[in-house]
This record gives sequence, C-alpha cells and structure tokens, in this order.
Amino acid sequence: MIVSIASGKGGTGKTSVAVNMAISLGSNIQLLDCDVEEPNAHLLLHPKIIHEEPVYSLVPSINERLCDHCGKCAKFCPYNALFVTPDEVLVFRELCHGCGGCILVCPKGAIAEGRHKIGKLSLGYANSVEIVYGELEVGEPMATPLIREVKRHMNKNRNVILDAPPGASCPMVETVKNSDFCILVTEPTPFGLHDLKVAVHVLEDMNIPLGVIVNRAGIGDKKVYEYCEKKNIPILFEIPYQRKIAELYSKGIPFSLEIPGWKEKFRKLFNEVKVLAGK
Amino acid sequence: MKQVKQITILSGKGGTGKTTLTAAFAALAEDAVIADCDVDAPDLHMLLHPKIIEKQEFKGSKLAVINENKCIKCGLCREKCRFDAITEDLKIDPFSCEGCGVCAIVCPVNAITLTEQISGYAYISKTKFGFMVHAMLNPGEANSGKLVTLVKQNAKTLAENEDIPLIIVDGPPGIGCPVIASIADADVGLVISEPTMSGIHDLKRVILLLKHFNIPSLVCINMYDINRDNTQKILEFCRENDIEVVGKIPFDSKVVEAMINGKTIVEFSPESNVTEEIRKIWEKLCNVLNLTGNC
Amino acid sequence: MKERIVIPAENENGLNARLSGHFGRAPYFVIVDLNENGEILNVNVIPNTSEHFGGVGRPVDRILQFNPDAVITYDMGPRALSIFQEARVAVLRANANIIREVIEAYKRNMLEELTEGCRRARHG
Repeated sequence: MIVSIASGKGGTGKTSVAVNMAISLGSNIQLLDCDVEEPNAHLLLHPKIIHEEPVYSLVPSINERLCDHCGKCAKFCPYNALFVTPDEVLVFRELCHGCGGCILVCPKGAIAEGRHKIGKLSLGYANSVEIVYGELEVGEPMATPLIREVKRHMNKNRNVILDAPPGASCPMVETVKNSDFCILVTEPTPFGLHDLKVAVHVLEDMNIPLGVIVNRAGIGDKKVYEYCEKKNIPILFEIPYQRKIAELYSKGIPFSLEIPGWKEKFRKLFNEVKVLAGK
Repeated sequence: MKQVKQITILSGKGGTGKTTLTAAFAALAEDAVIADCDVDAPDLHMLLHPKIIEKQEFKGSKLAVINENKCIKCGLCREKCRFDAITEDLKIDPFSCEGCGVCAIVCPVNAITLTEQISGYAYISKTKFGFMVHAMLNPGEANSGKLVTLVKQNAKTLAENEDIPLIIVDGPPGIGCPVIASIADADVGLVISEPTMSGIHDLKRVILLLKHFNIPSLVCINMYDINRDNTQKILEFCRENDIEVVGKIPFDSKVVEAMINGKTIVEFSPESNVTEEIRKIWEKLCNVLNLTGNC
Repeated sequence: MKERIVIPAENENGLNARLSGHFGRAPYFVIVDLNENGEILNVNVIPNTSEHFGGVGRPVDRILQFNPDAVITYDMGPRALSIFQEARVAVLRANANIIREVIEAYKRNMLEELTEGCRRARHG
C-alpha cells in the first residue's frame, strides 16, 4: 500500500507522523521524503546512509557546428528558456522545464540532452525502515523533477509512506499522485482548518481517499472536527498537545520510541488506513 | 528620490510563525503595504480581514486537450510526454500536464491543442491597517511562483502610486521558486526560526538561499523557550555567520487564542511578553531599513 | 563593434512597439542588435514574465543574462540602475514613444544618461 502524508499548512506534523508510523510498523516499510526543499525525515529517523547520488534535470545542449540559428527551438519553447540570434544561442537553464520540445523541433538535430545538477538523492536504513530522500540544491527553483526522481525509487514490495511538502500546488500534487490513501495532518486552529480545506479540495479532485489526523489536539477550537464531520472525513487519530511530545520532536527523537502506547496506536492506524483504502 | 523598501519574512520550515509575525508588523507599521505571498494556502486574511477592491485573473499555465474525434490512438503523445501526463487510455492527466505543447507537435493528426487556464486570482484590498495584496492559487495548480511575482508587482505599483515607503512580504515555506519570487528585490530577509532539530536544518538552507541572491538576513527565534539548548545552537550559528538575531519570542498560548479570535497578537494581547518582544523586533527592523519615521 | 540594446515595451510589435512606462513591470523587452555601421541585425522580443525571472529573481538580472551594452527607458528604480551601472551597461533616457525612434536617437548619440532612479513612471 502507498500512503502519502500531506497537510496544506506547514508545520502541522507530517514528518513526525510519517516517521513515527514507519518505525512503529517496523518491517517491510519504505519512507520516501518528498519534501525535497526542506527534507526533515532523516533528522528524526537517523538512518545509516548507504547510497548517495546526484540528480540531474534535462537542459538543452546546443551543438554549434550543426546549429544554423534558425530559431525554431526558441519559437517553440513555452518557457522562454532559449534565445537565438544569427550569431548566438543562449540557454537559460533555470527556465527550462525539461519538456524536450526543442530537441524535437530542431531541423538540424543540433540539440542534445545535456544535464544540470538540481540536487541529490540519498538512501539509507534505520533498522528495517528504508528511507529515500531528495535534497534540492539551494537556488534551484523547481522541486518537482527531484520529487519524481525520489518516487522512481519506490519499492512496491514494501509498504510505502510518502512525506509530502506543505502547500497544495505542484510539489504536493506530484507527491500524492497515485497514492492509495492520503492522510492529512492538521492542527485545530483557524490556519490549520483553512489550509486543510485547500488540501482536501486537491485530493477530492484527484480522487484519492483521505483521512485526517489532528495534531496538537487541545490547543485551539472545535471547528476542524465540525468540518470533518460535515464532510464525512474520518478523523483517524489525535495527537494531543503535550510538552513531552514537543520536546522530543525538538531534540530529533520520534515520540513513539519514548512514550509507551504510541507504537501500537500507529500500527492500528495503518491497518485502519488499509481498510479505508480498500487494501 | 525615495525608493520603496521591502522586507520578506520567511522560514524554510513551515509553521514557525511567519504569518503571525507579519500580521503583528502590519498592526505596528504606520505606513506599509502588506503582501501575502503564500499563495497556495494564504492565511493572513484571517487576521487582517481585507476588503477586496480589485480582483485579477491569473492565467498561469496551459493544459493540453485531445480531440477524441481526431485521435487515432497511436500513442505517440504518451511516448513523448516527459511528465507522464497522458494515461494508458490516452487521456490527459490535468495534475501532471505542464502545458509544454510537445504532445501537440508530435501528434500526426493535429488532434491536440493547448488551452489557457485560469489558475487563480490576485487581489488588491484594504484592511484597517492599510493596503494588502494577496492571491489564491486554485488547488493543485502549478506556477505558484508566477502568481507570487504578480502579487509582488501589485505591491510595488501600489506602494509607488500611493507613496508608501515599505512593503512587508509574508513568504511561503520552502526554498523553491515561490520563495525565490518572494525574496526578489528584498532589502532584507527576516527568517523566523524555531528551536527544533528540523528547524535548525531548515534555517541553514534558507540562509544559504538568501546568500545566493545577495540578500542580507536577519533571524528571529520563535518559541525560543521550548528548547533552550537548540536556541543556543541557533545563536551560535548566527554568530559564526555574522547574522544579527533581532529577537527571541517566548512561547505563549495567547498566540493561538488571538488567531481564533481573528486578531493580531498586538491587538489581542498588547501587554503580553510576546507583543513586547515583537515591538522590539519591529523597532530594530525599522532601524535596519532606515525607516525611523515609520515605526 | 556590434551592440545590443534592450528596451522595455508595452507589446510584442518589435521595432514598432510602444515603450513601457515602467522598466521593471514592462510586459516585454525588445532586444535589438546593431552591427558596426549601426544597422539593425536582429530584433527579438522576450516576455518579462517568469516564475522567478529565470531563476535569478529580478528583471535586471534577467536582462543581464543577454549581455546588453545599453538599456533605454523612461526611468528605472535606483536599485536596478546601480546594478546596470556596476555591470557597465549604459542606461539611457528614452526620448520617444516607439522602439524604432529611440533606436534612431541612440544611433545619433542623442540620448542622455539616466542618472537618478525615479519613482514616478511617465506614461507617454
């Protein structure tokens, strides 16, 4: 089963839930940290990294000897990443989305696939949890190609947990795409509720079944619960606001390791999600 | 000639308190345009209650459309699409389609066209503290960076036309293109950090981002008393990197109470330690920006 | 010596486009290449829209990617102005409304340097 953990609002506890769930399940689990701009799962999981590789995205590489400066590539490029005059061709790689269109339209075959490093991918283990995460190079604008690369390392023979980035635009969408179920982590505050609604909207449009975890329960008001009831969204789980839990998180320690009872709760949660996802 | 100053409030990590702080600054500032650049999940309006004066359509991207009547099911489009946006049964997945047009050019029967989409809306509004510009990206859409740029442009035009000396930008989380767009042309980036291991990790990355674009950074530690060891780590890091820490805000449950009441912390709890610390931070910011008349 | 001149424009009409009132927010930039004799070699129009201005953050940085020799505009913010000056790009004050006309003025050395960043945009 593939479960993604998202939220809309940042800082609600996605990574904490993802890691605690992964270590509670123990065996046959793979955690993919798709928050490539600010990956945090490895800081909580403390894996031993056994493999690292650079990740590249496609950029056009112009063969000046074949190029006759016809400009068809620049004319096609929907992202204005190419600029052609009779004596020069400029490639703006930060604008390139890697669609490959320029390569197809060049009548002289003068464009080849060059590559440009956008970040790195790491793979490691913490006991029997396998983690794969990506780290976007600082200054690189686009997260989505790196997220795709992280997901390419998905091992469907394991249960897969995807830790999504905050927000409800394309990095989050790329992460949750094709998951069997999405858990939305929220906090019971007006910001939490507002952003939850945006995330729910996305998942409904994508036809991905969902459920909610209320984190820091007790700090705010009841409106999140009223919303979920009205929309028939299952509230799978509550994590109460407790100083101890917050302290452990701040130290980089998953709380299910230190506070008894939680591992069992996360295991039950996972099984419930399996049922809801029809698996 | 006066130049409009700009400060962007960011964090790297989500949930550290950017919006809470931006709202507080809005309440304290005498003359500023507030720009909410978290266009995916904007929250500032819940504290500032803007009345919309102008609404603009944002046409961010295109979407491929396959004419089923012309389609001969050759599958060439699916083969050439680099974004896995065409399904096995040759339908466009709108959540993956980037509107690049490759499918349209390879289709042997010209069955594919690209249509422009309204991906969201930008707003210019008035609040009791002054003008506010903001936007909402339709859920699941791409090009949030472009919409952020539009919000910033609206802010600049407004500030220039109305003779307002300062733009305060509430930035999105992360370090990717919407964040890059939110810091463009900023005089300073104020990073709100939290004293957690993840918070420290993310702080370092966002500081690198500001350095990459030659924007001076300032740091503020929010909820500093939840882990004093980590607060020390942040202070050391800033010392080592010559970054001024402009304030340390204590944790206070009144912050959430204020949010529930739809008020900035400054209005809700003017005498609290949090508000006092925020006032001090605001004074420091005014000094850094040479806006002493605005404080 | 070949020269490249960049001018902010209201529309995509190349040499016949109207200049834009404000450099940073112009919808397009027209890039004109002149040869040694001042003849126009090519004219390109690039849109001034981007998620992140080519990953560099600002219109001024984006324009610098094209290696211009001069920028002609009605006015420019002081920040962008000083960046161009540091990059040894001449910033000249436009004296007409149409790209073709300011290029002519440029060829005849009739344009003055823009020395101060001005906040108010002139709408011609």
